[in-house]
Amino acid sequence: MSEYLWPWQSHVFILHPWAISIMFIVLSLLLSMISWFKKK
Amino acid sequence: MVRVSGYQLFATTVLFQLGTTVIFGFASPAGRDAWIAMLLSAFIGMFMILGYIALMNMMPGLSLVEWFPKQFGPWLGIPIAWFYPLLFIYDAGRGISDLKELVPLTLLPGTPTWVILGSMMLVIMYFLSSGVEVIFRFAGLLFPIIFFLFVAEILLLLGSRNVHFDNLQPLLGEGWGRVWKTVWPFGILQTFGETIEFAMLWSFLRKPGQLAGINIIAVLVTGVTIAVFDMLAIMVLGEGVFQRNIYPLLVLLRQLSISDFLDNLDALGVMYFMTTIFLKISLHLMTAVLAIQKLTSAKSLRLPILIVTVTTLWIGSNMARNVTDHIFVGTRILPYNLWIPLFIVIPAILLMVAWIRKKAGTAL
Repeated sequence: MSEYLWPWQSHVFILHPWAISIMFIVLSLLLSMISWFKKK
Repeated sequence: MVRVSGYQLFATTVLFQLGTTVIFGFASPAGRDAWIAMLLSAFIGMFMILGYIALMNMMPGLSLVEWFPKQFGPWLGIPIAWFYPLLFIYDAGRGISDLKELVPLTLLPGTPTWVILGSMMLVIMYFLSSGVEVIFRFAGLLFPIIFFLFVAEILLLLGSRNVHFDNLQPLLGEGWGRVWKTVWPFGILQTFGETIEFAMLWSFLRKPGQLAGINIIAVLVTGVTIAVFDMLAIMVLGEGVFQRNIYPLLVLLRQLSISDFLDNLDALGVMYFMTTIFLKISLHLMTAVLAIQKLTSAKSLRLPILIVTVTTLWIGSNMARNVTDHIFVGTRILPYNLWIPLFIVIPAILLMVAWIRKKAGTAL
């Protein structure tokens, strides 16, 4: 389970190909908060 | 105000698209038909880039990450826009991982990888701090040198006794199947899809009307250059070695020997690989930095530069346990998971939405 934290590593990428996509979605939502907050 | 010339944009685009292909070769699964796969990828890739330029023309003056909030609104557009700097950082990490595998194997066998990668990232950090204009000037300066080396390599190979034109025969002997498998999705996306990054930089072009022409010529030059190297590798090494080797174009350079006087010219190949990979990583990171600056309304580039270079060094140095895994991910998984959605699906939806809005006259 802990390997989901390192989805860019090739062996994790091969075993759990969708982990990196999920990480991108989560990170983009978190980072969007900075953008929304700064725009207000 | 940053302004770049048409030649500088052309040189930067060609060197970016050549990237790591100058060592890894291209389309080796297509065997002796790899050069056809390359030309076909370039042809299709050109239309994809023209699609990105169409988006640019619909939203003049705006960069890639500003397109999405403009068309989809801030609640949906901003999270989508954030995908792109994240992808650029990941792609830069892949470049670092390529270096980690290749440099100890060829140029610096005894040097610890952290020294190689750390010094590379320090130079890149300094390079990024110098600004966008310096990156374009650097590419403009290097382009003729790199192409002089390419021409010298081609002439020396053709002058050697190692070139066997028969190795290219029969043309399409196994049909279009393996050619198409190489073209889609990896061939189109790896070399030409990544050019979407330039949508962060196109607004710096001094004469915006030249954008489409510059990109068409750049794609043609890249396509023909890689196709020529593929043909040479097949003619010199044969289909079997070309397909099995991880670095076929490096092996190709090892075949060069001038009267037993000039040998080991593969070091030359690693040098131009270092140059193109340095430029490619720098562009990945510069576009990521500019995207982060736009999305966070940051006043200075210093903090974004520090964050992206340290992150890239970290993910690049622990990305792959071995080169086989690294290449498998890059060619078999990454194109489907990240590149198709971000280089094709989302821009295609954006193009449709922007076109409909333009027709209806209801841009947000």
